[in-house]
Amino acid sequence: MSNLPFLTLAELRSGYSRKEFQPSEVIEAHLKRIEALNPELNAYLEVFADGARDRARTLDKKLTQGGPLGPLFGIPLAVKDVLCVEGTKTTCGSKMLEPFIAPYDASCIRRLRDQGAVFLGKTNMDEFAMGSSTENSAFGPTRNPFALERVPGGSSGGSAAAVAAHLCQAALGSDTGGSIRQPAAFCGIVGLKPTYGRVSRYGLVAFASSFDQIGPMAKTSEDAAILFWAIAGHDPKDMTSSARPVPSLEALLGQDSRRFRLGLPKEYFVEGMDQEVRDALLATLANLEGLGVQVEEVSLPHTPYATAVYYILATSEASSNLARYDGVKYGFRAKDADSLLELYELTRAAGFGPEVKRRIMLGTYALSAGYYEAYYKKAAQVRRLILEDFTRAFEKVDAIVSPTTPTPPFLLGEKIEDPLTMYLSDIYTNALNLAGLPGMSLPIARTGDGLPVGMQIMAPAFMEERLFCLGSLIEELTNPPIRGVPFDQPIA
Amino acid sequence: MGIEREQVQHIARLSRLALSEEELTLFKGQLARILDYIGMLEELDTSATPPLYHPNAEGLSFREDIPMENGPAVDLKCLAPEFDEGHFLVPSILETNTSEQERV
Repeated sequence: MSNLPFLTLAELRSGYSRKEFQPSEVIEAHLKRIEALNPELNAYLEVFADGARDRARTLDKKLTQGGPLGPLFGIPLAVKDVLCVEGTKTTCGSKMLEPFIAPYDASCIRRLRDQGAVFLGKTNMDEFAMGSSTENSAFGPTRNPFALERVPGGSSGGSAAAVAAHLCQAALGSDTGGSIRQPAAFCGIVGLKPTYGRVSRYGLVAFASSFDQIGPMAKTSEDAAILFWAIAGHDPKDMTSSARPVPSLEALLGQDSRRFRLGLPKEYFVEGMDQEVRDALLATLANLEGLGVQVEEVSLPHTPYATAVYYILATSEASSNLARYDGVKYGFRAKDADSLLELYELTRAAGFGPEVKRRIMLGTYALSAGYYEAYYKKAAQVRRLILEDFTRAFEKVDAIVSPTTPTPPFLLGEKIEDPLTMYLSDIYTNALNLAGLPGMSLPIARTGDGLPVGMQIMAPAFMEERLFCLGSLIEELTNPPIRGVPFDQPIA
Repeated sequence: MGIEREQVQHIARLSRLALSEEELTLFKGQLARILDYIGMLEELDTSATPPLYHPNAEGLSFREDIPMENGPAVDLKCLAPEFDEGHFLVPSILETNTSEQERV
């Protein structure tokens, strides 16, 4: 089997510039792996085999002709099925959108296309990005390529599994409460949630609009930086997108992180943190201290309230955003409704899965007459306290570090019957979405059972460069490197 | 904090979800447990804290009001479950009986 899928994005870029291989060879090698492994993993919901081959042939000619190559020339990418890719299905892992064909490209897709990327297909996800295991997909769960009986995390579990199994070079995910970082941690790859407003949400199917961000999932911090740089920047089509200029790629990767002061939040070290996860984090920090990095304790006192706040506000926004699925304008429609009200109720009852229904109900309750002040407004007030915690902590330190998840990947079926326990698996990730700040997960170790352990780095708003630079430094310390499943480890 | 079955039914109606008896029972228990967990927020005094509804410190940016090309011409007919002659088709909205229809 070709080793091309095991290269990093950066290695692929330099290989193309030296004309060591052609886009067609790279795309074909990935499609072969998808064919062999996807039936077992269920990472992709749809593979654009013909489209990718056509596009690769066009790029082959461009390479032969010479001239400048785009920053993502010939890079095979996977796309979470929550993003619109013109002319292809965008299901959001839901029966509700099974018939939906996206009529336009999301802004980030358009940018990647213009820079030469090749899209291999759309990846599986928890329905409407609601979940932490990809078991909430209407099209079956995705399996973790490190251990098939375990979940890949979620909601961007398909993208994480595809990167980890080398079924694409990198992928796009979306993160509302941890949906990029948690699956990245579970699958031994890098996942970045950018600052709120840094990447345009135009063409992203909305879950909770004041939380959602699109971000890269890749094999290294450098690869994540390249993809981030390619999709970041102002977009007039998204009124929440920031006009702040995006630093150059060199600036994103050029900081000396050995001089950083890192904060370790004492509130994160609570009951429920797995011993191997804890040990891996502390060992990594000790290694960093050996290089001159300073580590000190910080306090984020409202941390214990973050999950409660998140599940009020995100479900409230979801109940409003998902009101559009009514069986009239697009998507699934129930048959045999006698009235318009019945059409809505039957369509939504048959089109949505249990987790989506539960969250719509919870959000509707929090917004309903008599409860709005006690739930929605109260949660929004605590949201400010959580942001203020971070603001105070970042006066003292350059970045904050924590485990990404309290435990290594859990078993398929282990938490699916118990929504609250599943919600608590996002305990270290959702505070950042409340505060709108950037965070990245990267692999730092494997447990005795070989399961990946992720570390989360958090930075002040629009300071993504600190994440990439510290991430690259940690990768130098991680031996052997963890970039998804190793070449010599069979997946299925 | 508990939640009554009638409340769950009311929320389902507001959410436009036709739930089965089994779903009502399941959600009643699950929502009660989640609301009980969420109840921890009552411990905090937030009387002096303004709510934060949006993390975007820079505020929202509106587009200049200048004429430009429309987005891609979307064929609504291809997207809609039922569409005819420029209209989305839905069941009748007005409840009518024969005598009313005759009057119309």
